[in-house]
Amino acid sequence: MEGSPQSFNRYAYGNNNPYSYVDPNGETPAHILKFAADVALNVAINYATTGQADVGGALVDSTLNIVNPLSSLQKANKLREIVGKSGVTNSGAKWNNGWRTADGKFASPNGPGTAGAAAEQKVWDAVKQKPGWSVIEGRVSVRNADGQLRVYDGAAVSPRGRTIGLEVKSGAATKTAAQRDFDSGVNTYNPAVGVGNSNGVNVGRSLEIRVP
Amino acid sequence: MNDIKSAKANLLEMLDGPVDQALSKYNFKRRKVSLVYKRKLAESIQEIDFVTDFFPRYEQGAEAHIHPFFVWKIPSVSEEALRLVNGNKMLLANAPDILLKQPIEISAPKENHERWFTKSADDYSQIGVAICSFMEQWLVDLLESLQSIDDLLEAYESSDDRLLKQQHWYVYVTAAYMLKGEREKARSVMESHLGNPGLKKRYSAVYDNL
Repeated sequence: MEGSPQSFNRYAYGNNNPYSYVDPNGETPAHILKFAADVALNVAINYATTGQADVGGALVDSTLNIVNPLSSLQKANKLREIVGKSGVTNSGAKWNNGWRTADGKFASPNGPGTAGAAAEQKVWDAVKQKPGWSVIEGRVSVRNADGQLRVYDGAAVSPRGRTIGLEVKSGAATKTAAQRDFDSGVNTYNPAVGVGNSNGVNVGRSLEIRVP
Repeated sequence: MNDIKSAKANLLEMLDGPVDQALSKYNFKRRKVSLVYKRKLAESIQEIDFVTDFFPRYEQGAEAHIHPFFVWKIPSVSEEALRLVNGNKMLLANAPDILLKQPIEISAPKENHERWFTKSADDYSQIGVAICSFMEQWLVDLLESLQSIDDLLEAYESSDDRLLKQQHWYVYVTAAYMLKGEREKARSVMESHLGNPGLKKRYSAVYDNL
C-alpha cells in the first residue's frame, strides 16, 4: 500500500466506513466479524422468542441490517431483556414483538395483566364513595350513532341519572386517536348506547381519569 | 380461545351446581348452556344475567370476573314508554324492553359490595356459594319488592337507593303513572328529573304526549 495514493487514505482498512467498521490490528475485515456476530444474535433472539433456531431468517435479517451500525447493539439489549426475564413474566405476558398477553395485546411485564390495570380498582372505590353515585365495573361496550364500538373500563351513574363512560389511564398513558374521536362525539344529545352485555346503558358523557 | 371455552365450561358447571339450586327456590329457570336465569311474574319478567369477563386484564391472574346483573322488564310499561317517545328507541337506551339493568351488588349497601374473581377451576364452586349467599342476603329482598307497576311507583316514591337510575328510568316511571291514569304525577316526574332546558328538548316527545 505504501507509495500508492491510497496509502494517504486513513480509512481504507474499514472500506472507507470508519463509523461502521473498525480493524484495530489491521488484520481482519471487521465487518465480516460483525456480520457473523449479528447472525448469531438473530439466531439467539429467534430461539428465545419462538423456540426455533431459524438460521436462514437470521441471515436475511443480518444482511438487511448490515448498513445499520446500531442494530447489533439494539439486538444485544433485546436479547439480554428476553433472557433476563426468561421469556415469561409473572403476569403471564410473553415476549412477542413486545410484551404481550396470550391474546396478543400489549401488557406490562411486571405488573398486572395490563399496564395501569391496578389503578382501575382505586377509581371504582373512589367513585363509590361519592354519595349517590353508582359504578358499573367491568367492561362497558357501547356504540355511537355511526355504529362505532367503544369499550370503556367502566361506567358511573351520577345522582341525576347521567351515565358517564370511564377511561382510566395511569402514568403517561393517553387515549388513542380512535378513543378521542369517539369520546368527542358523545354528549347528552348524541349518547352512545350499550350493546351486548351492556345493553340498557346510555352513556351521555365520557371521562378520562388519570392515576399517577 | 380454548382457555375461554374451558373457563366458560367451568362457569356453567358452577351454575349447574349451587346457583341453580339456590335460584330454583324462587322459580328462576335457566336454559342448559345459558348464563341467564329468568322468572315470569304476573306483570313483569325478572332476569339474573351472569355476565362474566374471562381473563380480565384488570385483575392479575384471574380466569373470570363474574359480575351478575339484575334485569327487570315490564312489557306494558315498555310499550307505553315507546308511545311516549314516539317510537324513538334511542331515548330508551335502544333497549325499550329493559326498565332496569344493574349489577346485583347495587342491591347492597356500598360497604357490603363484593367482587367475584376465579383464578382456577377449583375456585368456581366456592365463588358460586359466595354469590348465592350474597343474593340470599341482599338481592332476594329487591326481587320481591319489584314485581309490578305499583312496585315500580313505590320504589320511585320512596327514592329506593338500591336502583341504578339512569335518565331513561324516569321515562318508564312517567309511563307507569300514565298507565295508572295519573297524568299530573307523570308530568311532575318529567319536570323534576328531566326538566332542565336541554333535557326538555331531548325528551320533548314525552312532554308532547303527556
